[in-house]
Amino acid sequence: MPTPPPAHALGRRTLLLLSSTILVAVLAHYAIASPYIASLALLVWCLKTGLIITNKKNPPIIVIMLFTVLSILMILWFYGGWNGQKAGISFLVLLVTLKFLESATLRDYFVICLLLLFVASASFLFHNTLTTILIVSAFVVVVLALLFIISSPTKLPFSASIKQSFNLIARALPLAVLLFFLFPRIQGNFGFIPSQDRLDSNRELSNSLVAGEFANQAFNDRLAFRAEFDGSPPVKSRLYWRSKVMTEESFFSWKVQAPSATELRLAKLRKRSPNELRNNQQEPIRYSIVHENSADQYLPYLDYAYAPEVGIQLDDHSVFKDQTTNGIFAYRGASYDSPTVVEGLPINRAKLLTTRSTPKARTSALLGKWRRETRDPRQLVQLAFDYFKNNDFEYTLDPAELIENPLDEFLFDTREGYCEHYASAFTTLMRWQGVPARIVVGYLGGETNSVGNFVEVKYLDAHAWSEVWIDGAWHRVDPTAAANQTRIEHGMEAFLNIWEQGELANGRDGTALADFLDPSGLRRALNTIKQSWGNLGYQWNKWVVNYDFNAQKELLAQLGFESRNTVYTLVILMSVGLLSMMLFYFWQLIPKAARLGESQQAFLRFLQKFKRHDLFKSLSESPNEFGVRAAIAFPEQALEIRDITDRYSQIRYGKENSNIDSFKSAVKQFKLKPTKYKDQSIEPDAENKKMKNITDDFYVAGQLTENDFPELAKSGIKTIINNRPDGEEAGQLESSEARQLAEKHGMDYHYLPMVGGQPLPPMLVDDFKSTLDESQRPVLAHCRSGWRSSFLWSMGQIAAGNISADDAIKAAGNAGIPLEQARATLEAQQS
Amino acid sequence: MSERKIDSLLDQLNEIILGNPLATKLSAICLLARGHLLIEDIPGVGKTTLSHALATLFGLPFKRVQFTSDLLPTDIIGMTIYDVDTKKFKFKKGPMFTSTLLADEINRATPKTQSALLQAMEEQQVSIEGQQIALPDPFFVIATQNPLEQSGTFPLPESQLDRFLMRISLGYPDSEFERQLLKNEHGKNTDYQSVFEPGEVTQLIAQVGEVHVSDAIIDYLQSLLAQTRSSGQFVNGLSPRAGLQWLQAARALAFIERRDSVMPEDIKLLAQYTAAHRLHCNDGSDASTALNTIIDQTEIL
Repeated sequence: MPTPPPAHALGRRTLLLLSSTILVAVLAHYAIASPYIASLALLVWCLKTGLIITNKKNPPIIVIMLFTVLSILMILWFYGGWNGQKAGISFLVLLVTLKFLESATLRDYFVICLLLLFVASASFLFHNTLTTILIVSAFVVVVLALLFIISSPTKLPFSASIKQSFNLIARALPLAVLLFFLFPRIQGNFGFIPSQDRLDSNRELSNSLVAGEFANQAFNDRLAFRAEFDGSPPVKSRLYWRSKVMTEESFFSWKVQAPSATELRLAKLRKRSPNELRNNQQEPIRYSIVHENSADQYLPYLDYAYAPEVGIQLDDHSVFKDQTTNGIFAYRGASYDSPTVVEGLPINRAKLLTTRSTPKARTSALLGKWRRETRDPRQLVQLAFDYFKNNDFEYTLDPAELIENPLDEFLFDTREGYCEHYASAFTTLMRWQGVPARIVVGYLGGETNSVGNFVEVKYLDAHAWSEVWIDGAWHRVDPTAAANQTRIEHGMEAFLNIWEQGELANGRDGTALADFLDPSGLRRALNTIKQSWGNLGYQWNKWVVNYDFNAQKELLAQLGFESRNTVYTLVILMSVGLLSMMLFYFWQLIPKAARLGESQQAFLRFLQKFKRHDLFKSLSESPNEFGVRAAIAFPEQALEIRDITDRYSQIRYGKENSNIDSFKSAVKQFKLKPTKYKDQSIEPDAENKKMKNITDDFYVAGQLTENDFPELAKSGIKTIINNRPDGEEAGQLESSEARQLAEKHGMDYHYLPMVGGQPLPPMLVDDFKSTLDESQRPVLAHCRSGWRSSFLWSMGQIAAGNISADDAIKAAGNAGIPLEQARATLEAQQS
Repeated sequence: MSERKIDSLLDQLNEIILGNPLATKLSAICLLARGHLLIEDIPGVGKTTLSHALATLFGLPFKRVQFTSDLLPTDIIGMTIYDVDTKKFKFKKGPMFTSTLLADEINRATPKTQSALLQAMEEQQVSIEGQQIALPDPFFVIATQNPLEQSGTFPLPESQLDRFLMRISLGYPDSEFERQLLKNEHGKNTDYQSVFEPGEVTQLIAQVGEVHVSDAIIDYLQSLLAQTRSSGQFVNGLSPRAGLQWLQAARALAFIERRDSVMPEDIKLLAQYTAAHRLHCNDGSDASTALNTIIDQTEIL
């Protein structure tokens, strides 16, 4: 029997929270799809939210039906069908709002939350920048929190639900990361027809160049692509990124001629192998490009691209790809600074000289004048260039409108224009002079990101320039350079900066530029932040968004799964994915061990210090019991040890709340000194080495030497007990030799070593005592200084109840042996 | 103040019962924890002496009933008799109406009589003809059982054993102490005085209840209880009552040792006495051994 669904009513605050979450999805829809559909969703949202606020009932079913029909009609109208990602997400968003409108039960709200999660994941089909990820993640956190709130029968505070939401996500994260790397990334559009989802081509490089329109791009600061050079990037004025070539002129505007099928086929055949590159004498500039989502079929490459990795290089050097991809894509390029590649192919001279417009009177006069001066194409180019340079032509973002005869008016009246004016005018003039010429559209420069060491090219960097055919080769001529050097040398951003400051008109070109090139203070800081963010985005695109099937194959190869073919790779990926999911599932089933508290962790650290000296707490030993045992094993630190174990017992079992922090610091400061039995506290000088009487018939002494034995025998000692292990220091009398010496002098000899730095052997105290009891008196026990012997004696005597710990310490103290430090151990022996 | 008194009580008790400080301590714990004591031992090791001394020193009235097979419930509870003078039926209280009752050789009585006693032990009251009559407070039963002579006896069933807080045995004294005993060095010391005033014991018992039990102790005890149930070695695991009594005994132990909180050692020490008699191994082996294994395998941290 499944448990019945919860059936509690939702509070108004919860509903409003849900409502605002939906609002976020609806508003985000404006950025993705048709604003009309987003507005419809907003209308439905307003209706329902109003009903919630005024505590009214849901509208009658007929109203909801009407909205539904309207939604369907609008989707059909704006997208022309169901296919396509935009139609899909619009459908989803409308579904959310309509469901919201009709929802009344808990189940409905659950459904809405699930739909919202769907919307969130679908948004990645449109944007996958770092910013999107952050926004969508925050959105998902809130939706999950909402699910927690909705499913909780009791009132759950928002902060608690957010915490639970994070908890849930944290649990899922390892699996998500694993799946990210290993789940097969099948390339494809999953049934969506991308042709219906043409990107907003207004915002990209157009295939035609109309005077006055191109300048609009100057304010389009959308990112086009980022390029990272293998070496240091060339100077900005050489960064001519070729995208497309325009050859068809009609009345001062230009158009790209799409490559014919034959042309493409031929270009494909000509596709050079990268090996050929090596045969070329010059070293090419190598770079990799991460291109933002784009519907453009022409790929930007640095002039002049050679053997492009992606796309087909056409005769005009532009690179064309016959399939559009969705999303961010990356490719590598190699370019030569100048067109050194020999053009083996003849050009269509007639086509490159054709113009629709014809020169008007003033232009004809100019052309005639030039023709009289020279017939040499090179000099004609120079004449035209100089004409722009010497006649106060102005480079501007809002050129005066050209009305009847654009070229004429531009050359003689307005004399101001954007790059397309110059390129267009120049190219037309060249054609009229009989020099084959064409327009190239692409980007010039880009902003160098010094944080990530890459060049960021935006649509505002779009540029048009000319190429002329002289002596069997194409030569680049940028007539804009005649009008404005800043744009060419420092890039569009620099120019825009001056433009915004209005300095251009005032003729003070200098300060704003200097300011731009060498920013100071706040501006420099802002630049760094901007660049850091840009770099983050670049790395994100490069490593995360661009992580595709090939990258996956590479990763697997590095992990040792060399892929023979795609199917094999897929099978491996699938099995690893499935296996990890299963493991994850079982891992979730394992009951979690109770988490240790702070004090317990500190106590474990304390125990760890003993482990190094081979003293272990047995599983069932209580802290106190361990403390007693450890204190016996390390008598010098007995007080410290008992203090720590007592504190711990008090924290864990005691009535009053003890201070955990002081306990922790006590544990931290506690250092086990393994030398405690080496009794280094007393220097065994001549004084100490003498025998000292503890009782009438028991003496202790330091290390004995050969010469001591006759004296000892003379003074009446009957038995010697040695508590010092052999070989503690060099030159120490061996116990076997000592035994012979003792026997020679008529004394009994016992060897009961007490090893320093180790727990006290359990039988040692008893052995010592029984040896003492059974021996002939007087007895002399010795170690290095007499400390160990006194300690062993005291332990035995106290345990037997013969003396108290106080007495033992006093007796030893009289003999100059500081037993005080082992007081706790001795006292423990008392009970 | 009363703590000092407890010490002197134990000292005196140890002078009476020689060389068995643990047994005397345990019996005192048992009384302070409001539990009942089962002494399983052969006759003549000082069971009666112990219980009599305990009762006297605590200042409690003491009665002794020798259980035999013909003993009837009324013999211990009492009966209703007709009073000729008042012409009324009157309840004549049996020996059970005392604070300390020694039920000697409880396994000789029939189950009927046994259960009359055991019910009184549990409820601290008796039912006479539908009337509930409360027993004195505290009510402490020391029952003895002879483990050797099993013929003609009715050994206490397991469910009944659960009613006893502890089971201990006194055992033979050490040779040294036995020597003292034989030489009658300290004499048959019967002139001991009660240490506590009447009513003081109930205060003492109340103080035992105030001994602190930390969550860590509860966790430890609970895991021990759970393991007796889940280990599969025992016919039945320990009952919640066993757990409660065990903890109460640990409180009493801590109290006697003048601590204000229970330590894991208390729980461990008492396991053999408060838990072993309630457990029976499936394979008939010794329950205390199995219990020790469980304790050894349970971590204290």
